Amino acid sequence: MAFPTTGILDTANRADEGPPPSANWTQVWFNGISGITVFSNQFKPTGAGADAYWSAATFGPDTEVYITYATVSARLVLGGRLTTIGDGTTSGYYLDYGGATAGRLFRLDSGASTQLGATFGVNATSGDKYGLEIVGSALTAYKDGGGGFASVDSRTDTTYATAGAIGMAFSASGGRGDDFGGGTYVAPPTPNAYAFPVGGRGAC
Amino acid sequence: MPLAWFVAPYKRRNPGETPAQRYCSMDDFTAAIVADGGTWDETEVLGDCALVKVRASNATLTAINAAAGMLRIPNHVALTDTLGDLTANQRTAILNRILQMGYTQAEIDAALPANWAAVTLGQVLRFAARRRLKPRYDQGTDAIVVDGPVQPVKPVDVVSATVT
Repeated sequence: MAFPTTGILDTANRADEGPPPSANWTQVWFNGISGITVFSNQFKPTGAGADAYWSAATFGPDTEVYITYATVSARLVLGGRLTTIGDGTTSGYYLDYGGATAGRLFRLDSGASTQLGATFGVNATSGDKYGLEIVGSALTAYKDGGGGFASVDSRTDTTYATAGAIGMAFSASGGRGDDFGGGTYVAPPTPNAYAFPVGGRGAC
Repeated sequence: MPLAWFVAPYKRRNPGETPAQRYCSMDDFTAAIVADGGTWDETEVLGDCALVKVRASNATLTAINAAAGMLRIPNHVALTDTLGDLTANQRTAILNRILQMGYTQAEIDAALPANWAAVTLGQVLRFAARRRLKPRYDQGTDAIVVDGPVQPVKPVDVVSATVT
């Protein structure tokens, strides 16, 4: 399936502001130790353990979230189907990708994370894009190293199936992000099995 | 390539870091499993552990079985296999592990016949995967505690079909 099906929500291309990056964001869904600002047209943590979620809308339940990991420093986190959001209370799912830790998918239960399956892929590279798609019970991690997004690995989990927020987090202050996007997943149209060709035989 | 089922404990990753993360201890062997050309999948079950099916070399499976907390299901991989050939010690080890998860003897007695000649691997694993509890983070002790409400469990049959 094509990824993403949704557009960029925040390019960070504006005057420096925050934290949070704008009025469309709210801090504290992942670890909430620090905030995220817009700085030099990128998302910049104010310190280690920085997070923010897009609070202007909820999406889903089928959801996408993605970002350009402009500068890799420790780990990038992308969250989806986030509910009961708060310090140590958030539930949902997230993708965790790092410069030295490769990719992992997690279920978040009121602030306690459980890794789903194996660590996968290769370590993060500055400039690459990372994404998380949650469709039904399928969680899929995506990476774009310059040739377009491709799936890296997937897991299944049925615990959280309702709409929620999407968000980002950086574990270290040196990380930078750009072009945060996502929203409600747009399923491909179902082909009409009974469609007749235009003109010619079979046309009524 | 050989296949095997394990009961694997969850472990804490990076204690002190928030949010607290736990992972299936089989991930400690992911690099070796992948290097073999293998794979693994799990279903989280009661007792802060997982039922894991692994495809890997015999050497890797042996190394996994030697790791702390791991229990390999002997001799059988197919869920339709009956377990009548297990020794008394092998059967006791599995039953003790299920009790350790938190199931009661009464539950075991009601679900599994005492004579395992007709009991299948699928019956045993599906019993062990009857439920799991929701984890939570205890900030005071910096521990992930698994004592919350009952949560949905990924079916053993899905795990079995994923790793072939």
